[in-house]
Amino acid sequence: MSSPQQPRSRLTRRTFVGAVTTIGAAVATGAVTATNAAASTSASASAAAKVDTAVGVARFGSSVYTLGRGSQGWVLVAANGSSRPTTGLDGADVLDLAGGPGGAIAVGAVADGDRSIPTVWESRDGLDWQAMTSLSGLDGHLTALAVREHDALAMGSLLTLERAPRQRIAVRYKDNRWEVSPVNGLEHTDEWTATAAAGDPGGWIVSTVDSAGSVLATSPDGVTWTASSGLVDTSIRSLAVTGAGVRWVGNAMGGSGALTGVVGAGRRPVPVAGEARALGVIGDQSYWLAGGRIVSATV
Amino acid sequence: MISFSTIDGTPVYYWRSNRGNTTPRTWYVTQAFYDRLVLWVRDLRSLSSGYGSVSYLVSAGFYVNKAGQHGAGTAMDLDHVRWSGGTTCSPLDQAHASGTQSIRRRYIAVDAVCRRRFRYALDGWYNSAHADHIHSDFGDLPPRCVKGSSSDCKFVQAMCNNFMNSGLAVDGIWGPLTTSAFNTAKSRLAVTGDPHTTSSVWMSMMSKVAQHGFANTAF
Ligand SMILES: [Zn+2]
Repeated sequence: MSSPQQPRSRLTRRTFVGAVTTIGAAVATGAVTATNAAASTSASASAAAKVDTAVGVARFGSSVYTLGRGSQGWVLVAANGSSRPTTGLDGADVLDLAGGPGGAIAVGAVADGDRSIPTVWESRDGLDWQAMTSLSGLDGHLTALAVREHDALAMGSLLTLERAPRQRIAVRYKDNRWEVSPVNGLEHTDEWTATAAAGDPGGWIVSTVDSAGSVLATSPDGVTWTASSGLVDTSIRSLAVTGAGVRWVGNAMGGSGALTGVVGAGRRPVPVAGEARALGVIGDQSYWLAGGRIVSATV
Repeated sequence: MISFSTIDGTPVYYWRSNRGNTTPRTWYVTQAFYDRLVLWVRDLRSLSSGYGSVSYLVSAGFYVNKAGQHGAGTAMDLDHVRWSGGTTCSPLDQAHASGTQSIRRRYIAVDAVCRRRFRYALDGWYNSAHADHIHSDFGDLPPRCVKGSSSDCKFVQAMCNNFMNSGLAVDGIWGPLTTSAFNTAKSRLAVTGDPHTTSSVWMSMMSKVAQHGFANTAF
């Protein structure tokens, strides 16, 4: 595996670790009305361009945002549905988004002919993005991102010609830079897609999806992993460590129903439209893409 | 996305949490992918008419919330096919690795029908993640046989072994032995033209392979 380029992080250690974030204020001065984030499903859609797809959620200031892709490219979409165009994501296939102290992080890939280059982007304001790590010697993508107070971990796959996962990869943000990180104990997931990750001071958790459902694994250090539980007929799309355990949101695989639960403690449906796609969960709010718009629901 | 419970009238069930379940499911795909599924199921019906009609299909998922073609609503994971006469084809039971030749040939027949309409059909020979279903998606259309594709190469090797006793290693590497066996298959199936470059030639060849597979006859 070749070494990635390692530019200095836009989110300096001070800002990455810092408690004050400016993104909410920056966005609120623009066209986005960021002061009235949706508190319920019915309140969340407003007059705004629809998006074809959306990934992840991040809280900036008092509002929650996702990255959506529509006819104008990638846009920053507030939970109330309003959106603003981004820069720096042309040609990007963004696959996950998370907020961190001092800004936001997105992961995915950039198309390169028949191949795709696993890539990490950073942004201070959610609008202006810059690729920070581009694994240019590899053909693959980064699909799941977890951010802690002092570091971050992105999981992904090397891909076959047919675009099927073939080997697990990980990229770690630590000491003010991104670098490829070893992964041990996840070999059984090499041919599956990582769909969600989360971390807290005690360690990390990642979810992968095979043909039957989600398979979870945990790690104390982000390097050495141990398989844990699984969930049949569920594609987990976001994980969040809470005081009550690890909350997840996702979709059924037999059909598409919206689901949530706490790892190890069953599941229940979420009252959103049948085709709603899970984007993420922050606190007791889950966020979904339904009919091209963002909706939220208490979980 | 559009929703559906049947493909052109044929129900699609979900068995991963409850085998044998025939509760209708609401699935989602793009309109273009659904339109392709209709062509696919019509091919399947006509090529397997000796088994009766297709009673139902079983899928492990279409629009699955993950990166790639499933996440775009442009992929199908096929677990099982059931015909009115009682015959089944069950990728879910790893039919590609069955000890019974007729079951393997029937799996290759269904696989070949997928390859008529989808460029990337990933099957039990492709890798362990696909040991229990056949994945078909919208990548890199139109359908054709690409020597450098491990998926296409392994399918051809397994096909030659199961219908012509070619004795090839199913390794995904297109070498001289695979070329020789493939040329023999083309000759015996009266394929004219180049299935590597001309989609209609490959699609026609896949129809002939499917007919032999459903009839359990060598070529
Ligand atoms: Zn699949």
